[in-house]
Amino acid sequence: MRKRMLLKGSVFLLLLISVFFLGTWGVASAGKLTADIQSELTKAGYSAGPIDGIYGPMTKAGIVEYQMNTGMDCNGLPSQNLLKHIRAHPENKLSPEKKREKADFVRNIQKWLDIFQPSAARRVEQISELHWFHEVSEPFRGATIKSAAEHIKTHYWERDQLAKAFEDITGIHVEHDIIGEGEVVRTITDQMMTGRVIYDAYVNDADLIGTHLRLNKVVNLSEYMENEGKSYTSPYLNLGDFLNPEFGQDYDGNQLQLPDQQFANLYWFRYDWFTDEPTKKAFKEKYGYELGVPLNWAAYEDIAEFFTGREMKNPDGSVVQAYGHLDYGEPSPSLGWRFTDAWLSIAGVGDHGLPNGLPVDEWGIRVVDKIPVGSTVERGGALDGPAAVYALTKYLEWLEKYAPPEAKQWEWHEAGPKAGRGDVAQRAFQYITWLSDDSFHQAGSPVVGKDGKPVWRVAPSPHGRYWEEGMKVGYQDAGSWTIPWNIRGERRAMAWLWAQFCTSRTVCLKKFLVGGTPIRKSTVFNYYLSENSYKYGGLIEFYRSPAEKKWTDSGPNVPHYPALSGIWWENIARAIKGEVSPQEAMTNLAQQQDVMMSKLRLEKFAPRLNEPRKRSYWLKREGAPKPERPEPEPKTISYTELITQWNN
Amino acid sequence: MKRSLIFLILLLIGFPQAAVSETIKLCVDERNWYPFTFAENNTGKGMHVEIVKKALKDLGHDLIIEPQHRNRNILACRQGDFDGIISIAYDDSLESVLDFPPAAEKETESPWRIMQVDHMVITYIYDKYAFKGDIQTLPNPVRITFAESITNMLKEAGLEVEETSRDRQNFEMLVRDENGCVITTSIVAENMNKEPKFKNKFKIHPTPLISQSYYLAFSEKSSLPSTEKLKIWEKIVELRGDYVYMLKLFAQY
Repeated sequence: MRKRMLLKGSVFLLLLISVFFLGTWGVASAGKLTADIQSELTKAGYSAGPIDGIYGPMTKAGIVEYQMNTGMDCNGLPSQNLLKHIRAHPENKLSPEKKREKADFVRNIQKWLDIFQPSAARRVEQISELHWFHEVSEPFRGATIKSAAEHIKTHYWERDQLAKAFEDITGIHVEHDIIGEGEVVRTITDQMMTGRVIYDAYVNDADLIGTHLRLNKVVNLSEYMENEGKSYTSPYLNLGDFLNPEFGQDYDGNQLQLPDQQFANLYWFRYDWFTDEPTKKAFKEKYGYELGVPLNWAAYEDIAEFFTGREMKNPDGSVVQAYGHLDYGEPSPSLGWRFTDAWLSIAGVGDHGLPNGLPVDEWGIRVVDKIPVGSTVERGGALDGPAAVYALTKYLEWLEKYAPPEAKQWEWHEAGPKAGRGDVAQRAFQYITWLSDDSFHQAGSPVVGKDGKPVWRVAPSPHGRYWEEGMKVGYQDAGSWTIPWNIRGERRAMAWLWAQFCTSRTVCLKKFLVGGTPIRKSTVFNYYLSENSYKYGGLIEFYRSPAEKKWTDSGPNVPHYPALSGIWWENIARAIKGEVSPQEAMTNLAQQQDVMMSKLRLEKFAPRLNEPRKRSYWLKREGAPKPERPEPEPKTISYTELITQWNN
Repeated sequence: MKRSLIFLILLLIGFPQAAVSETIKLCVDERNWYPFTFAENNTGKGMHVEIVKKALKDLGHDLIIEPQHRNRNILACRQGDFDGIISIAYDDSLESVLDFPPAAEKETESPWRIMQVDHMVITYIYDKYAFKGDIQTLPNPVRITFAESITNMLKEAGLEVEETSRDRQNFEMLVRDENGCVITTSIVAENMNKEPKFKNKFKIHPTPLISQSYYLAFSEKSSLPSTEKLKIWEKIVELRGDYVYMLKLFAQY
């Protein structure tokens, strides 16, 4: 027995020794190859790190650079073939001028690589990616382009950091103007329709995809990447890594817009107040069910009523008279998108279907074979139907009863971060971009606990009484790079490079940490966010959940977002002022929308309105427009249960 | 009766605008300059025409618009046959004929404009020339439609300028002679490119040659008082700043 054990032990030892020596030989051999490549690359003027035989990020970057310069496959790996190639082609040696430029580049990117941490790309991948931008932009050094984007944190960061980095790396100067979203819509429309060269690129909401695919006045990026722009398309772009590239695609899957930042509308609430035992008890005593995340508007309304005027305490010790609701009502383009960004959808105006209801979508537009045929109930639409009137009625009622009185004078961007001041219990739909505001994260804020963790959470928005399973659950959109048709040649190439730079894997995770608007899967699934998800109140869980796909934008069926959205806020503003009733406001809106649709000049899928019929004809049919229905029982769910659903 | 008369007199004194709300007669270039100005069934149409029409209507004026040849428009204004021209860029040689809005001679992008229009350089498809902003490098001949105010600028730059009455003629000559360039708007060029005769036979350079403000300019001989002219220009400014109106207007072209 002992002998057998001894024999077994000797065989194992022999094997171990063999493996060790063979392994060492292998390492030594690979080390020599790497050292030879490092040496040859250095002689040829490339930066491949110290000649130590160790394959590290600098060596990989040097190999990638050589492979790219010489048209070889870019795998960044040392090989005998590579070594032979370098030795056989002395003409690939870099000129002294090129060496100097490279030295500058390496100095520059070290600084930027430190700024772009953490990153979903490893450092070597970042170097390779940035190096590609540096090389491809050589013909454009010294040129200037202009772009425009709306005033949210993400874009300020792009202006203040990324534009400088882009200039250091590519030599292209970018004037990235930050303007209001309404101005973005107006200016891009002006440029598309008059042919003026105002900006070379816009970060324009993918809500306009229905307009772009019908007008044919933006660059078809899919075609551009295949043809004219092939050499300016980054090998590292990887559209498959984007969360929702489909937002920017036409009916045939062509990419017309590239997501730059995206944000969902979610329910926001004070988790600490909702889990406070005396508060829970008081709620249950009054309403007869558990205080929790409201699943429908009936429960939301109860919770709003319950908290409004109630004395509540914040983690910083401040005591406030709470509001049960937060909203805004200043007449402006943003009041329009308060509604077109799916308020009607969560009320349940549209039909079943993803990404948008079919045949009737959440704008109340009936669409048949991609052709819009009407908004009024008489034409088969739902914009002046019972569900839409209910949506406006609840908006007005809650704004009046449960929101801070000054909310009527706020625009979208003013209301955005207000929940962070510590006197709001819940918000039916919160644009998550505003959760990047310091007040939601900074120690000492009324909505941050003593342990430094937020005391707020996000969850799906509650739904109105016309909503049913199978409909889109909520709204999210992607501010997306859009290049107008009249940007041509080298300007188009530079604009495309700038767009890719702002959306590169190198910068995206850091951009999310600044602005809270993720676009890439590699960002939301990154280990850094796994470790820090507690800072985001459920947002990371949301973006990792397959349910995220049920939050969609306006979609391709809205035929002309700029012209139609303007009509919305004018009519809603009249209802806020009390000049018209909710029914009158929605009737006027629907009729005006139909008139406008009939006047649109579009290259394809232009509206052709249905002949009007009696309202009862349409209201008796299945789906939207839906007839009056009663308010259901209020329903809530515990947050823990909800998060479990997202995690599964 | 006496009371009514007094009321009427007061009304006329109180509302001078009502007193001047006579019919205003304007002319516009008849050439196809879509979407800004063009003629359809002998009626002036286009974005610029619509803005002016709405401004005058809002101010209570009746309006007659006649499309005709650009040179004839200027002659007619010189003679006082029309109150003004819709859509014309500032031209100092017309100072004695037309009354432009304040500081039109200085402004690149005037607040008083109806709209701003970019003029682009178009060359034959295989011409290797690249326009980078230097006007003097433009390849000769430079083809442009009659009476564009930038013609003087081109001539002063020593360029060989060929003027025709329609853009189409310019494109025909460009494609036939395979030399020189055409100056026109992006939209005119793109529309030409849709025609088989011209398709893929020319290229539009990325950098605009010039961006100009186009105005409603009044005839110096018009009987409209200067205060009324100013009101009309102010109304145009107001309309151009009307977010919803402009988006609806753009959508219809």
